[in-house]
Amino acid sequence: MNRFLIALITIYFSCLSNVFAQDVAVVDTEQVKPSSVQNKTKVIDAFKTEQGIASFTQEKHFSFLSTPIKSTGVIKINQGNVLWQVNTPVFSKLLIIDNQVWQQAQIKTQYGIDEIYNKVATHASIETLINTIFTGNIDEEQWDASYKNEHCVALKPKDTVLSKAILTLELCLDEIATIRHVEITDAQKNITKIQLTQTSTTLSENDVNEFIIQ
Amino acid sequence: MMLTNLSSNKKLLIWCAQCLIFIFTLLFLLVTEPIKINANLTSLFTKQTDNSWYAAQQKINAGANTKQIYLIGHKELLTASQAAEAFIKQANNISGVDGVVGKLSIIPDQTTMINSYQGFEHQLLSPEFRQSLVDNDKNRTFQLQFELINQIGDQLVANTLQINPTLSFANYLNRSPFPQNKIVLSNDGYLTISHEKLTYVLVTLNTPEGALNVNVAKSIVAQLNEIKKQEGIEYIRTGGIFYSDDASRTAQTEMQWLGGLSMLATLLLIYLSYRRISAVITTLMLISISGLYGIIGLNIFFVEVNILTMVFAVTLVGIAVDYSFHSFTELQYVNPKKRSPLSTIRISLLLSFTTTALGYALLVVVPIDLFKQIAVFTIFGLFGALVTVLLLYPALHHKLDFSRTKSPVLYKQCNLLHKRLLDRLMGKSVIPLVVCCVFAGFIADMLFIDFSDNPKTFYQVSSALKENETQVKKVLGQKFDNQYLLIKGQTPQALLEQEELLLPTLNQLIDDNVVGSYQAISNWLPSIKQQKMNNSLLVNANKNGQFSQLSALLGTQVTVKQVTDDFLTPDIWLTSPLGKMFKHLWLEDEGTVYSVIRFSGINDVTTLSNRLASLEQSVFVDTLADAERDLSRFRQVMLIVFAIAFVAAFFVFTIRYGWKKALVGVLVPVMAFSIAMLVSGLIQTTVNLFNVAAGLVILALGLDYSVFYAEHGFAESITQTTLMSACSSIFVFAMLGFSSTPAVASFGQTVFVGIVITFLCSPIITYISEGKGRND
Repeated sequence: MNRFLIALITIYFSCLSNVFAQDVAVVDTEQVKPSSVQNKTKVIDAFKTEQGIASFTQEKHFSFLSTPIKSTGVIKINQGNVLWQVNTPVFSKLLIIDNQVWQQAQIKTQYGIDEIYNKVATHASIETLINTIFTGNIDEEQWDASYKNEHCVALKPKDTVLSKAILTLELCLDEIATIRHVEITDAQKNITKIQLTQTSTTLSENDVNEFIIQ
Repeated sequence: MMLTNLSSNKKLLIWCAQCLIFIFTLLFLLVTEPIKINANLTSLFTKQTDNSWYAAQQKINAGANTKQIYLIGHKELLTASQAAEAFIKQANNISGVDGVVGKLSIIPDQTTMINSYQGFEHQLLSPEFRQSLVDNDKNRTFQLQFELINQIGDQLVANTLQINPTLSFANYLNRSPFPQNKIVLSNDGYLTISHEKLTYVLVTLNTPEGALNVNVAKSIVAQLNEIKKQEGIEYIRTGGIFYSDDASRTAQTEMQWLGGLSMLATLLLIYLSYRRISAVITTLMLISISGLYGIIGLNIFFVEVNILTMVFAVTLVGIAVDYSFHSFTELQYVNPKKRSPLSTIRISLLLSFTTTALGYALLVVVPIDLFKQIAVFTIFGLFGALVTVLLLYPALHHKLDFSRTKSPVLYKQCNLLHKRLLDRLMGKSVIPLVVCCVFAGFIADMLFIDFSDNPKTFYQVSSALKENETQVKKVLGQKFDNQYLLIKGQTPQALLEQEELLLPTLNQLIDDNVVGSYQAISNWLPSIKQQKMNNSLLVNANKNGQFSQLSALLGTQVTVKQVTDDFLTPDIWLTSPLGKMFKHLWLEDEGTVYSVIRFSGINDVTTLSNRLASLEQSVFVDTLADAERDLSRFRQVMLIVFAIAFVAAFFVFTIRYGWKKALVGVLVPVMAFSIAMLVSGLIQTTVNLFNVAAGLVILALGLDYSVFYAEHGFAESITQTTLMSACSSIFVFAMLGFSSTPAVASFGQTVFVGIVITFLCSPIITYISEGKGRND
């Protein structure tokens, strides 16, 4: 019986210590959570990603449509370069390497269908936009950044071409550390909402190879 | 021959009369149509006015030369744009500048691009969209449409959905008309580029087409240099006028130094030889008159001359002064009271002028303006010198008395030394020896000489200009290459249709990585034929339910407008904001329409040229390669001219001196040329057209020496004149060898070596005992 009691007490204290340990861990997480970030620099810094993978869901709210256009996909970031892959409802792949946008295209060859990347010449500096959204690299030469609240920064484009397309860009941190929210308001007040969920902070060899344009 | 019997005074009168006529002609020409000096290094060749392709190319090239670029940089955008604003304000006041642009209003935004096609939205299809409709591939069509809808931060769909619900118009516009995307439009409308932690503002100066004229370019650059530069701001610039200004400064400096030094050395030589200030002054006057006649010749035949002609003009000093040497050497033994003191050498002088003038006249057959200008300048200059020597010198001799009791000992010693040297070398078999030398020279030339016809190697621009150009290219990134495709059509629609036929070939060139990209007007303006096809495809696709997925997504029914008679044409579109950006690719000339396809990022120019060579109604223009090919051809033409000159001289010499003397007299300068080419090849690594052109001068001067030796034998007086002539020529051409312009230096070096050899070997003709003339 004593042995049973001793075992019971041991288990109790063991559980108690685990609970304490979890509490301590929660406190540690709280210390780096966005709620503790007090200025825009810290929010901006928290957005910066050098490498990683995230899934995304995107909703485009057009003022002339009753229902939003939804899409989902995966974002991969490697050394400041971005791979933006839409999986549903249609598949498409966009690579932004050194501020140059490349779109994957399928071409028919004598051996079947081959996938190649075509350089995309944009007229709305979307590479600047995509880079900012997905890597968190906010170039203050191109954006006016302002602190909105403890979770969010609001960005306005300085570039005239981009400013004619985008009114504001809002980057927000979530209660959950791996989630970020992006809201883009274009010149016609159409709103695009993107939720990013980080799934990995590292890339496999195959992932890195995807950034190589043949 | 009548002139020979006239008295010195009458000759003087005739000389004054013809001189006045020429001076009045010059004054008249200078007042009515003054000659312009250009430093346009791109217009090396003679204009082919009968060739419509060439005329169109010239217009395109002229347009390209009117843009001068300034990059004004600072780490802060605001500071850079303020500095740019200040610069633009001052540069706009410069006379000769048509306009200075910093804020580019012509660059259309998305709205103006959409407006550029207002009313024509249902007849425009991108190649991918068209293919998906042709293939009846619903999924592919929907993929293209969804990619547009889903595109981050783009408003094309929002802005065009109402006017074209199929999104084919949005898809058509979903690309940039700009060749590269490094340039960013700032909030206040400046074109800015970030490079290595600095932000640059791009400022473009528009200059008139004649701005490459040396005086205009110099004036504009001088005024630009006066603009106060702000501290801490980086100013980089490039453009044709800066090269023009640089070329004119170099040429001016070289003309002053090389011309001045060679003239000084020549005059010193005259003084040491004749010990008379009057001889020096007379020669100085002869050179001036000769230069004046050269300028008259240029004014008569040309409206514009190249700056390099003025550098080459220095060579006239060396040749014209020879007439003075021959005359003074002769006059020192003639009584001043003699009626025709130059009668002994008159034939030699006339023959000498004829051979030299013929040699230079042959340069005219080469269709290079520069050579024609040099030929005209030299022939007129020499004519002036000849007339002066024959008509003025007797009168001056009568008044100033150039005779002397004894000739300088130096020439006597030289004559003896020269004779001894040749006596040792020359055996009985003179002809076989000379022929063997010529043959060996040519074999060595063929083995050791590499030719280069790259016109870029003819000029040497200052390191500062080179650095500036490299920096501008680095900052601006990818630019259009110099090569382009020129397409011709009888009507605008025929031209657009012709371009459309070429587009698959051009796209294949991108897929094959031959070029990075290209800019073609038909990519933004379809022909009416194509517009009809596009509209028909859209209408049928809609009827066949090809847009059903899109309709379901949007929750509305997609509609397509049927177009029957309202089509977008070049005259409408080229006035739109987008069309204005492409206007430089469209040219109408004498009822024919031309369009230009510009390439950027050319990786393999040979493949590009080969693939485009077989296309109909079009020419691939590669100015540098074309110039290289032409120069190679001209070089061969010049060698043929050289051979003709050789045969002609041999024929004339044979009549007067017999074939053996003629053969030696002509082969000596040929041998000198072949050895000079070999030496030039070893010094320069590669030789060019200017080295070959030097051959004609060697031949001309060499034949002069041969004439004098054949006429007067290996006499002390001839040694004196030929040595003085050789020395003066060497002063001039050796000086040119120091020119910083490689073309001029090549010419100078070859002539220098050739003249030395010709001088040493030309008395060989006196070792042939057969035929007329004197042997010593």
